[in-house]
Amino acid sequence: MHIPDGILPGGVCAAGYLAAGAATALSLAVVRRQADPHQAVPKASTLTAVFFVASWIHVPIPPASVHLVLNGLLGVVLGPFAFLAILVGLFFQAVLFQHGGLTTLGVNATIMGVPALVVGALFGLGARLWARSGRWAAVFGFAGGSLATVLSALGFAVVLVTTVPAALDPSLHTTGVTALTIAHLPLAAVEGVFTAMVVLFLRKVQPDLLHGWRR
Amino acid sequence: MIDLDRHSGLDSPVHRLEPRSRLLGFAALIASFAMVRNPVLLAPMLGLAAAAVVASHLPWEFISQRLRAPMVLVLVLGVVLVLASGGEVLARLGPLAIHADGLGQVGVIAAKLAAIGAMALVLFGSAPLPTTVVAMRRLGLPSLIADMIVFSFRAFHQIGIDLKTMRTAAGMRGVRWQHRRPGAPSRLGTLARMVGSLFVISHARAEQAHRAMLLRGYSGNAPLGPAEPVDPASAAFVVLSVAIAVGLVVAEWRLGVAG
Amino acid sequence: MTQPNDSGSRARTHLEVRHLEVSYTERVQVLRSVSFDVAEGERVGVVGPNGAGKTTLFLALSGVVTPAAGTIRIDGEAVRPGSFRQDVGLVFQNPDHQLFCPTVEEDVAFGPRNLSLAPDLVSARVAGALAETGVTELAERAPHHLSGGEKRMCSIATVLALEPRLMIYDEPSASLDIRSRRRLIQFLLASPATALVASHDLELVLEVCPRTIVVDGGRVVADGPSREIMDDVSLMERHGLERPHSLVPHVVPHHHH
Repeated sequence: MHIPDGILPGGVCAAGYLAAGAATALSLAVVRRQADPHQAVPKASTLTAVFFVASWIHVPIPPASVHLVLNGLLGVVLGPFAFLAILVGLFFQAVLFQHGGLTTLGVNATIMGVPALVVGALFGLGARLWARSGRWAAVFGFAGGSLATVLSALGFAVVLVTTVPAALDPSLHTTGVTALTIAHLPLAAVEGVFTAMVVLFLRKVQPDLLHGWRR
Repeated sequence: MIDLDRHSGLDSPVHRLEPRSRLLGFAALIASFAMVRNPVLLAPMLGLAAAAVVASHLPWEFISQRLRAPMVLVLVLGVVLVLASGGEVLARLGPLAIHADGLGQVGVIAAKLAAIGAMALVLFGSAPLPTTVVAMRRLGLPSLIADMIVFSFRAFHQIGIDLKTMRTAAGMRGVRWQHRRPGAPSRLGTLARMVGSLFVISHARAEQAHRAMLLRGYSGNAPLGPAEPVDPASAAFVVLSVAIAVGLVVAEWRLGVAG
Repeated sequence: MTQPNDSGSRARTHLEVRHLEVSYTERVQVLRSVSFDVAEGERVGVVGPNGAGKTTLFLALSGVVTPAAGTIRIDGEAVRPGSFRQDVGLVFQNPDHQLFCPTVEEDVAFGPRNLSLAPDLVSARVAGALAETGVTELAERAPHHLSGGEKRMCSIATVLALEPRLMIYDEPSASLDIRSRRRLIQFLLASPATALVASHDLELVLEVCPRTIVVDGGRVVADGPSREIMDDVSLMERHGLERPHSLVPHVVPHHHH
């Protein structure tokens, strides 16, 4: 779901940067209100690095083999830091690996980062449930992982279908969006399962790494 | 792969630019490239990118090798566009039709990708990452984000090694990643536990590193110290780049309106 | 081929290495023509300065790294790089790389489960490995929060569960406290497996391994009885090592009291 440079019209890239700027400002505001934001930076940065490395993992989803996106997991673990982590992660992917793009950094960050924030917030709200019950933890984990993927896929599909200057008949737009989103459903399922597994693991081994955890 | 810094120690006009000026000038040009749509502007755009590569003394192989993967991606997209878009039909391959519009668009997309990609590689390959991050901070990047960039960059290498070693060790305990033996633990589950464990051990390591930094006086928001003065060449570069960028955007607008 | 072991009786050759050469792309020859034999049940220390090639040697013996030249035979059978060998167990330097399950029990069971062994056989293997390493009471704990010594013994247990006959230990006593180190030494002395022990802890090597190989610059520069080798001051110093304190003659008082 990384959109490379060159495909999107300049105006869309600019709009993407504006949206990402807004989300960044919002995230910074929330993070700075925390007790000691600069204490959280090393943790958030290391977890960003873990995501970056983990996203290289290939999972075979026939007929292809795909990278995991893991933005849902990011939201579940980092909460409000998730958008910033995705921004930084995407920056590195574009600059170091030419995966994604620099002009499309804003668009990509918005597509992948906003769902992460949403999922993180919902996960945090549900803390009372999943803290007490492994079953709820699995449910929240699966829902978080798959929802983030579906929302990102939707955003990705809408942006591509409506802005890529292929003379695609406007009436075909809805079909295009639907088709592209449905194509991501298998990935969403795998991400859901993976996220649930990691959530269950962390809940057992170090629950304070999960966003919203209170003893 | 994470050796983008390999050529950051060269001596070239690009390397010698003051960091903020280099960042501003390149950013303006890259942004203007994103606006290009008209095929007439492809040549000047590619010419500018080529000039940047030449001026930076970076090896062409460095650029071409790294742009290979995204170009393949664009070519795949191109196939879709060429077959699916409208406009005059240039040729037929059995039931499929190759449309003129699609062909033109693929060309524009590929050229933009090459030009933007090359400029980005020159920009980030001509100075060590921390230098570029400091320049970004001076230009307004929040220190929290700047810190995240620097810390995660440092952490990648070790965490990459950790994951690789974990997978090797797991392989030595019988995991078959390609074809799981029936009855063996799920591979996705094993990966999930490894990722979870990476969180736990990296977090512990980060806490230790943070404590060490605190002992050396770090408190976030590290003061930047005095900036390098902007030399005349760098100032001229910024002015020139912005002018060219504006020119490209205006040209695109004019050609768009006319055509 | 047979060789004498400590007690003088002939033991079969377990491991045979001939003219082993390994190169990585960045550094040209990491191992140059390494040759040595290890008999069944023998414990051999592998010492040398950092960067000497010990870890690379171990990865080659385990079949992880492909040699550029030379042969490795275990029980007479050649080691094929890339194929999993159940009869060789490598204990990594950092226990965190071998412990990733939510409980120690699951980590130890991981190996046998990957071999699709029957559940009761898996339980038996787990119980045996936990008992041999003395960590049975840690079975339900999460390995990530254990102490260095506990992690070390647990990581050894995860390898033992596969019942390898050749064990390779890469810096097993690094960052262990005194008690844990002593537990490790007792374990090594009691273990019947053939063992290669790489360590900077020369006293441990002296205590556990009757024979020592010195590796430096990718070559075997010395191979013989541990006491003899480590007592050779000029040999030790030449290869970035020093004579262990226990071998220093205490004739002239040199401790500051």
